[in-house]
Amino acid sequence: MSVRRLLVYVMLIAGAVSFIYPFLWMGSISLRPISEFHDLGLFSENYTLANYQAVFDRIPIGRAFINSCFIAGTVTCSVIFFSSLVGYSLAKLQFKGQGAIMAIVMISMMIPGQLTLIPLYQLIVYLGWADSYLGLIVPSLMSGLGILIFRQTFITIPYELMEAARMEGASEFQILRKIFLPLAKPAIVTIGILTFMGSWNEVLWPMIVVHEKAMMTLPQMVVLFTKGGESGGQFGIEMAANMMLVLPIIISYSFFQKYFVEALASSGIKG
Amino acid sequence: MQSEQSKSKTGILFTSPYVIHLLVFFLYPVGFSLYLVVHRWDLITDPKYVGLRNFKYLMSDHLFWQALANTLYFLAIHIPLQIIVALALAVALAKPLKGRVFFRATFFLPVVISGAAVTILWQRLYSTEDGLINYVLSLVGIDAVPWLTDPGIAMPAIAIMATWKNLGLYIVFFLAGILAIPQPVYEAAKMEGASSWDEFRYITLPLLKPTMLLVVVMSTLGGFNLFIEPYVMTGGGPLGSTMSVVLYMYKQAFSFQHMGYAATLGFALALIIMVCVFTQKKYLDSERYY
Amino acid sequence: MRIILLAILLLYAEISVGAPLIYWCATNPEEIELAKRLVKEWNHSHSDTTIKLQPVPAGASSEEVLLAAIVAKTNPDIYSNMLPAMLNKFVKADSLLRLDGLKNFANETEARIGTTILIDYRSPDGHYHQLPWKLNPVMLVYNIDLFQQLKIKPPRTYDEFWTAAKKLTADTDGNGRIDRWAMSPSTTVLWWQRLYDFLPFYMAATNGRSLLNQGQAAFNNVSAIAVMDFFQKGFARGYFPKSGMVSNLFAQQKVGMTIVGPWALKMFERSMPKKFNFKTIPIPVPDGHTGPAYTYGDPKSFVVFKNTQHPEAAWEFVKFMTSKKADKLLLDITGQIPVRKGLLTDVYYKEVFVRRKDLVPFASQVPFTKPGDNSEHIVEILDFLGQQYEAAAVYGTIPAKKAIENAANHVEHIYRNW
Repeated sequence: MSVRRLLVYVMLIAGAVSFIYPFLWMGSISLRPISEFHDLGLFSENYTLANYQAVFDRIPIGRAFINSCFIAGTVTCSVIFFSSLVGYSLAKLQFKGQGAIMAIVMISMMIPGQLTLIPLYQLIVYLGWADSYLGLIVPSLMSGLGILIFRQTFITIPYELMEAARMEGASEFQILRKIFLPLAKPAIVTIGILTFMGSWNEVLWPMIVVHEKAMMTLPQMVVLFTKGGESGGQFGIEMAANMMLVLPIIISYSFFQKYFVEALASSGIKG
Repeated sequence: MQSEQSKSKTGILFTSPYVIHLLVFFLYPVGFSLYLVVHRWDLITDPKYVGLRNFKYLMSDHLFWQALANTLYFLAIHIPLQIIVALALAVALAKPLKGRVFFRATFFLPVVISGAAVTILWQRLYSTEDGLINYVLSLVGIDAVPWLTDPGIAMPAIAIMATWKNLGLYIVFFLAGILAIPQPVYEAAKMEGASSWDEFRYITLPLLKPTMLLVVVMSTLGGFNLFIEPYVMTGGGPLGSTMSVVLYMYKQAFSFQHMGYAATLGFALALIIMVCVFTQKKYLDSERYY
Repeated sequence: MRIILLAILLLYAEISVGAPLIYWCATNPEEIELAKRLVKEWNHSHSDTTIKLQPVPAGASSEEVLLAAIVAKTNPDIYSNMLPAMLNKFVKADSLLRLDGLKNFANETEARIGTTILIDYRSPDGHYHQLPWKLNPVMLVYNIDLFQQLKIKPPRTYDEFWTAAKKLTADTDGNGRIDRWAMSPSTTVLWWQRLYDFLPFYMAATNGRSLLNQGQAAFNNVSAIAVMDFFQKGFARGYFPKSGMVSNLFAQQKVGMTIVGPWALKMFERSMPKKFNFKTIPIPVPDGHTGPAYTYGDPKSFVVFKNTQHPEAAWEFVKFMTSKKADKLLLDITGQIPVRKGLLTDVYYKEVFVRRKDLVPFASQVPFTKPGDNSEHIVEILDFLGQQYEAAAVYGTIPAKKAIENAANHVEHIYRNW
């Protein structure tokens, strides 16, 4: 092996360590008594689950986890469903106003979210949806990016398939469901992962709209816990809460890593 | 036999939920924000029309300009750092290498994790006395750096953390760009006696311009969106050096209840972002080479 | 048909009459225990106007949570954690019930509070929208054992404070780093933090003056500069730690003094690794100061929201919660001081103070305790003051005089623009 190759390997390994070690360390601290928070190593003689117990005792983190699952799940299903409908219509159907809708989809993706943050909050409050699932879910039910991805995928599917199905009397919805969607599995996975991840990790919007503990999402609750006084500045407990936030994603990632990478890579290309 | 008409009806049916949603949750808020920027409103009493006073206040609000400067400072560090490190690692991973998939997967891990979790972790890593980073630095003889308590270092600290978090994503982008360059191009260059560095400088780099643009635009958007990082890590301090525009907007809206002014900040920020991205696209999106 | 109508009517009457009034209390465990006990007693004898108790939902600060609730129209009927400083915001929004129009307001308040103190709680429009409930006078608590060991006199003036500080700040374990300090004032910029460091010292130095006077900054004076300078000196000379990880330094004997209210005493006792004795004295004053040392009282008041369905019942409940008996329970369970005159002379409270001698200094401070300003801009004002405090005191990048000037100018700026 040449010197250069060796150097490259060293650089890569050093990099990888700097990416893995912090997580390992975080996990280790979460499993050790609070007094050991100074230690930068990974090993200890006193592993304990006390920190995790403390988190469960002090905040309704289980509820927050369920909230996040429910919200992210609902939003993801909704986005996939509605984006496929609109993407299909834009790709394969002819109707009035089609061009306008396409233009609006593009424009909606270009306008930064900061513009609508405050008015959207006011709207949610006006509708009485503050501190409710509605306030957290409804604004995110649709996605311009989802529409674009589906449209792009559907355009490549030949018209002949549709004509054949139509001749057998199938409705548009059946065509979409039975023919197009099965052929668009990569698109579904991509949109699913992107949407789920985005919704799961979202903190700013829940912070604005939700103030009641029982309705908080998981990242929001963990942030409030570590930043507010409830953790009492006890680092081991904070890391335990953080681990609970991070583990679901890490676990899904380790199984579906390939799909995550593809999903995010393609979102960038299209965006 | 489906008629054109019923196809058209279906089209309208399929898209109407989206259109309704758009009207209510996008167009209305955009419109309302334009209404809010010329009003004062504290959420509880009625809005009061004030014309262009919010904009006037914005012009002389040095806390806003400081937040903007902070963001530009962040970008000035984050973008070059991101490009250099991601590109270097992408070039390394573009060659056939043992464990390529493992490395790519490892670098990509923080991308999928919530920014809040990363910030909470890094806040500890940056601890001046007993943080992991200063410990590692001490091993090579560098004194403890006051990452989060020095006004000049706090924003760079956040920029470094942001680079770490998104590195994997940009490596993937660069990898895709590099692997898209046809081998014959390199082979031709080799035959003419080009060195590795020449290859990189005259072939790879120019052909990566579209990817470069993508990285720059996405990093810029990320920088302007900074909220949870300063919120959790520094609260905007020390001495306001990590106050981002979004954090400032949040503060104006929800700590001080200046809804009209917060909407004005949002409006100004959106405008700035669009100008920035537009300029970047214009500057970097030159003719392709193939 | 008529029976159904009657049933519906009765049901409606039952619902509107039987619907409980919602009462939000603070979230610390002692106050929740107190509230639970009193609410239970009330509900026992008031089955037609029951109270439902809820600790304030969590949020960055209870004020933000309350505001959000009012906006969303999910606010309670009665709230006992109202900070008088924030009151004007809610008065201006017309969310609060005027209390001085209600039954027996004048008599009750005269008997419990007395007009001299009550006037501090009057709203700018001349009426009363709050009933002052409790005070936590912020005072100086010091480690008597440590002071005796190092032969230090408890400080009454800044000069004496520096003498004490010099002796206290030391490297006790010989590893080359200072690990004990004089005091650890907070370094955060959160707006309410100034109420626990800058404001008490300012009030002590000025015989109880507060920061504002009719929409103008009234603190651009030598006393404010002296106070800012005090904190600047402390940080600059290393008597105050800059680290920011400040939990419980006093209980761990890592600092010799601390600025707290009576709420902290039980917490100290719970978290002391090694037992020591402590004593409470008033906040130090600038040298040459005459008159008693005033302080800020971290006051909390009862308010009733205008959109309540049962204003009279709500008011009766508030009176119940501030009765002699309730005040005694307040002292006993939470260790916080009710806003009641003659606490130390009234025989009814004698036994509580015998059991809790540590509360006596706080109770004697009550006549010299002020609730501070009441302004709808208080958050923004204190937030900016906090930024100046950070720059001048913690980081020492601007002189104390400039910091005070900036803060005072900003007050004018805020009132002019908003």
